[in-house]
Amino acid sequence: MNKKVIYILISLAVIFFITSLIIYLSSSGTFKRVVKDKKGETEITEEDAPELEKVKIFFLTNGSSLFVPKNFEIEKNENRIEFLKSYLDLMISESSKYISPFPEQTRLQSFFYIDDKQMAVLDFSEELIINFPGGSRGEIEFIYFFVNNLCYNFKEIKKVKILVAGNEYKTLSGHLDLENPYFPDYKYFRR
Amino acid sequence: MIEKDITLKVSNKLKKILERELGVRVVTTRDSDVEVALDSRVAKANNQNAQLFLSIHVNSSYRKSARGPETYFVSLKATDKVSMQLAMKENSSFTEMGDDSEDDDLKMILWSMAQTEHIKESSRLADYIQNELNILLNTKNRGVKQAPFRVLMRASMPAVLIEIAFVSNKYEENRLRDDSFIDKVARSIYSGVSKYIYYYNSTFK
Repeated sequence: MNKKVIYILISLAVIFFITSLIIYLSSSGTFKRVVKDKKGETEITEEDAPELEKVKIFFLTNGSSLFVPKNFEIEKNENRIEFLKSYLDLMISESSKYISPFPEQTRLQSFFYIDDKQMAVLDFSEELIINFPGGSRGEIEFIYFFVNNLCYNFKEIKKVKILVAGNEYKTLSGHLDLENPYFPDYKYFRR
Repeated sequence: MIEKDITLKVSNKLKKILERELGVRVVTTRDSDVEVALDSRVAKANNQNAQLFLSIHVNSSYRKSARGPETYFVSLKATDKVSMQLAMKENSSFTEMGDDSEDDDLKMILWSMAQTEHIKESSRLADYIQNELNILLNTKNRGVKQAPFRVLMRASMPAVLIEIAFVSNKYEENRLRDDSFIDKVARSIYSGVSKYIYYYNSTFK
């Protein structure tokens, strides 16, 4: 048997072995998959993979006057405040891929949830007021982006209050009342 | 282009047309380039016993394609305070309330619920104005909308907020620079108001 035939036989044996291994691992439920963690792409086993929770974020797009839904998965967290934080981080980071309804430099400084009022409180940096371009439509888009998305995905949140730099403001730029918390108004969402 | 300059132009033109054509008294919150606090505007209307309140604005959105006039009337269901007010109105006798702090609360509540009595008429006024803006300006119908506008909530008369065009839209920004467009806007609002007044007089007088 010459060397060429030996190489072919060895190659076939290796391919057979790898294929068998893949089939075995798949059927035993420990097939590796790639997931993204905070540090980047990493290989982990199904058993170690974080359980994911499906959420929707409605974004402003050029194609529609209504907010359009996009699907995401976030690592499940029994601590709902932590989960809410992840959701808000995702909302803000992903909004840059669509039409972000707030000035670029605006930061969400803090947020908290008041249990007995079933109310989320969002506190934005002062750039929100300083750089807000104005207009009723602009205010509606900003307010309901947060109010509707939070109330839609977190059934425990019934209303949302917006603060700026820790303070209560009358309006963002002279239109919608900011002294009261907001209930969701889904007429702005494409359902 | 600054919103307050455009809205001042529209308001001054509208005032002249309304006074000339309908013989009504028009009070503006400003007739020159001065800043008027939001709450003072509606307070002035209430103090003058105005029969209609029009708040004229220029719209803006991060969605640059957004365009067309929008007319709003207030939505009261969106706020806690209003839910509380409505509940109080339905369930309690205001005169039973006692100490000074309660009196202050009561005054505040009565003040901020002023618009609840006029929602239906505000909606009708908004309809008339929006229709005229759509017809005369041949602009896309964005419809009559509701939202909890601070300036409208405390108005004790039919009250609407008119966004004449989007300054964030290139096409409409150019139109807003054109005085003939400003004239058309003022005339459209006048037509809507005059139709409302005709409806009101023929229905209630």
